[in-house]
Amino acid sequence: MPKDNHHVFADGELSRNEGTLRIDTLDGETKYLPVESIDTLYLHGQIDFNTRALGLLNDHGVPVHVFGWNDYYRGTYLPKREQVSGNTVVEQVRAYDDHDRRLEIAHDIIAASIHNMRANVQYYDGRKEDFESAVDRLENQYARVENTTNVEELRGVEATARKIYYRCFDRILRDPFELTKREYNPPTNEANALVSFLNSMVYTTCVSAIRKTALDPTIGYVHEPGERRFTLSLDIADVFKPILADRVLFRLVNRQQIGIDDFEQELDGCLLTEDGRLAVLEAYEETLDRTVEHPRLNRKVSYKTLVRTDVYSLKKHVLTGEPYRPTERWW
Amino acid sequence: MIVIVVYDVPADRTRIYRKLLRRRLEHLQQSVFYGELTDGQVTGLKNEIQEKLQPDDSVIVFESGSSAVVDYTTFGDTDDPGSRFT
Repeated sequence: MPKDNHHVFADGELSRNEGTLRIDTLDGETKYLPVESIDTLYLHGQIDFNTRALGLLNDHGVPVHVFGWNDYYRGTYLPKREQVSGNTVVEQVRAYDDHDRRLEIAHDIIAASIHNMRANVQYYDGRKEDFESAVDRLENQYARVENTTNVEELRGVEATARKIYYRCFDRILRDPFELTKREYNPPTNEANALVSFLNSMVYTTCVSAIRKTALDPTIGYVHEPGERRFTLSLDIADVFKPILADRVLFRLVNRQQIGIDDFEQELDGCLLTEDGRLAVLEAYEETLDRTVEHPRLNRKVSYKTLVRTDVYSLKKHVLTGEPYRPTERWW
Repeated sequence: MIVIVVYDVPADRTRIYRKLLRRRLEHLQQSVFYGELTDGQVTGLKNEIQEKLQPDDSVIVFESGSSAVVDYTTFGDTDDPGSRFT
């Protein structure tokens, strides 16, 4: 059972005190966080902190994800690794460098991603509207994955699938929410703002999960490794976006837990207000806690654990050649 | 599992337990701590308490089974226990 995340929305100071974390908010409140019982710390407010606080987080292996103005994801402070294995990294890079091995992993990731998109559309098929043709077309893209011979072509298949998928959003989402077109930097409407924010949360969840293994987060298989990005997190996030982000989005909007007044127009973009972000995060955390019966582990696991088992499976595949089984929604 | 720890110790020794417990649990009230821990963490916690123990100290550790849900009702100026948001 993974530990809980903690989100700090308040503005103030984060420090080390009596061997644990202390937060003094600008409102004059003092709170202590149990550093040994926190999985990941999220900073959403304006927080001052020093190297002693970072050192403590480092000692306990707690990653910190920092969000800046209006909760744009700014970056992550990753503690010194507790899992180091040169062997794993060497094999990870070898798998990237070997065209066939890389393609095999990339196939698995994209197939799982499309499968999970299809599962979402299927869930709403008949429930709200008729999505049969979208399901069929996603099915087609799923079948095409196997036959792609290089990563560029594969990414093309994924892009087509994603387009089909996003086109269903308008009909799934309760009015007046509309995605129309997926746009970011900045998001242009309410649905886009929600998708962007939730996707960044999925990304950070994957960064935290990868840190638990010796895998190098910068070397991915579908996305091209670049500067300043955790490419492997982007890969794993693709598998989990439909499960973690999109379903939360549908639920929040359709049950009217979030409304148009939870957004504000800023410059030429549209962003969530603080209340809105809090509502989204509560729903997201609740989703991470949901459990399903795992067919191979023979026990109930939370969605958060699924992200972790996914990464473990990839590591095992890279090291031993055991099949990589990215999470395909089976429930 | 859900763990609740309460203690009653001489005033000059409270900080010892406060410090020890705060690292793993949420400090709910003066000498009351609450949180969700793994079995390993609970064992570690108990061992550490044992090490610090003096004849006058009294500490009680409550544990609830593995499927950890404890219902609670708050009154007055109280934050919800186990909140993940600050």
